[in-house]
Amino acid sequence: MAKQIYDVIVIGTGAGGGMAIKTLCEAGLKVCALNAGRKLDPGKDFRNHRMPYDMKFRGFDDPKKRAQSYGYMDNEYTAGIWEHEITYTTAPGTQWMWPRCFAVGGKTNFWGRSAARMGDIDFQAASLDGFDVNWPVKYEEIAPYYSRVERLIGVASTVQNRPSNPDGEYIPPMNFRCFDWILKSGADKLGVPYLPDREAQLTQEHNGHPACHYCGNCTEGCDIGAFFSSPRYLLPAAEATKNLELRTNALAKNILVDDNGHAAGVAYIDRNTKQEVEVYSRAVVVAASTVESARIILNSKSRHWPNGSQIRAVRPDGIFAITSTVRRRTDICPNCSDSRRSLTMFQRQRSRGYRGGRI
Amino acid sequence: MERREMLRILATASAAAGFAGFSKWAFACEDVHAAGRGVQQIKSATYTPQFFFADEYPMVERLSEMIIPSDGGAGAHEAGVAEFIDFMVFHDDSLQYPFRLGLSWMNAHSERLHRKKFLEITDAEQTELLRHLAYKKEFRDGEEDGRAFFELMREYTTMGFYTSRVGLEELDCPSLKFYNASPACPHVDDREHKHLPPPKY
Repeated sequence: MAKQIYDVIVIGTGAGGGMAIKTLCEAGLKVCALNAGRKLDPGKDFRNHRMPYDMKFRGFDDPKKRAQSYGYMDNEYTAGIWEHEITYTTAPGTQWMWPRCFAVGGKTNFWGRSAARMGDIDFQAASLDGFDVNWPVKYEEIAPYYSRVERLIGVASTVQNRPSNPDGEYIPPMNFRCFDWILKSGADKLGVPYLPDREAQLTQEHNGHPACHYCGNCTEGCDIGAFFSSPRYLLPAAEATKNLELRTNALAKNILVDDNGHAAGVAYIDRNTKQEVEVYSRAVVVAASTVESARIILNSKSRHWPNGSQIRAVRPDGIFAITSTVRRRTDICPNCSDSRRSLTMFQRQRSRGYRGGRI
Repeated sequence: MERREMLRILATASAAAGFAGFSKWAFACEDVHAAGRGVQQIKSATYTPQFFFADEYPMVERLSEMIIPSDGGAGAHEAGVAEFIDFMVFHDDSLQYPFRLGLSWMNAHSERLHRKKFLEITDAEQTELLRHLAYKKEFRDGEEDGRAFFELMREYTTMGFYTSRVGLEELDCPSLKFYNASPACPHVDDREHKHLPPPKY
């Protein structure tokens, strides 16, 4: 039986993976998407409308499970969504927490919705501060793509005329609340601008997605899809093309290469059967979040790549994956009661675990 | 006292495991996949404590009701705080010794002062005893263990009350409502919020 060769395998269905899947499927390519976890059912898995008294432990969670929590987003309300079955170790003497959501859509199911554009202050940062290297692109080349994404997902903000935080195509912003005005009064006296963040959250209906009703529990997952998440905003369009095969509970192991050292497919473990499975393609996109992508690539040793594969354009027109596990916690909540700042797929990557308790 | 409408009553995993349920509140069924959304756990007529002994549980009830009384509205009694505390302590090994020790300290201290156990002394004597544990200005030497226990008791009482429906209603908690539009600050003429009415508490 002839083995099926897909055009592209995309590992990961989050911010980067979902966009790659949608774009490639809409371009007519046959895509096999691998996702390490299961598909979520917002009706059952998202308990964002549950009140504390609906929960067995009032939201504080079973004391025996608290120690494993990754932080405030991994709580009784999101039980079963964050990855705990697959464990990891850390080097002796280090303390590093690795929050992972392997469910379809990954951390876009609960990200902080802060969707600012990087400007040349970021793209060309090395020219300013001498550290690292500049991006190979400038803001003006990326701006049209930012616009495309903003038109697709809906970002609420205002025009602010600040090059360090370039303006985009925005739907109306959320209103300032009492503490915003209090903070703004003080900030004005200091000459510090106090401005609405760029929130990828819908203040009005957008492309068939409903407007937010401000329940404040975004980080427990939104069961109506009022903010951008990959499973609500990207994957349905890909599925509509009929070019997508999504395999869930498929934990990618390594990238397979052919005799020329080019990517030829992916070996993964089926978490249900515990068997190793190979799937073949002409190209592979690795979008499994920062650390996980690195793991897959470093594990992909062969005689061509004795230290593991490298991220490189595997087609002349340069398909490359942008992965993002960025989570940086700040305490400023300019617009909605549960907003936490995080960086989107287009922004610089850092990794720091979440800290903090809920309630 | 009924605080929530029961949608359906089904046998749940909890009941099968022998937990007869609370009497003052019912959490939504833990295993939503099996029983469907919105199904509530069985509510029993009375609550059988899982951790506290028969002589300890009434003390927990009394203490919680003294910390959050039912004056002028629902209090710890209506919210079933004692049930909540028993449930939490039963599931948390690190709480069990402090609570048990603290309750026996209360009885020992009451006997030292009045030759009777805590529940047998008058209301005024109970209040007096607690005052010295609760308020910094009233602290006395030799009562450190009691103060530590009171802190624990107060913490769990407030946790149990303000995560209950009546507690959240008392706070007029915004998360009990839905908003059609992005909520906005209503103090249009007082953006610095310098002339607000005094707070309720």
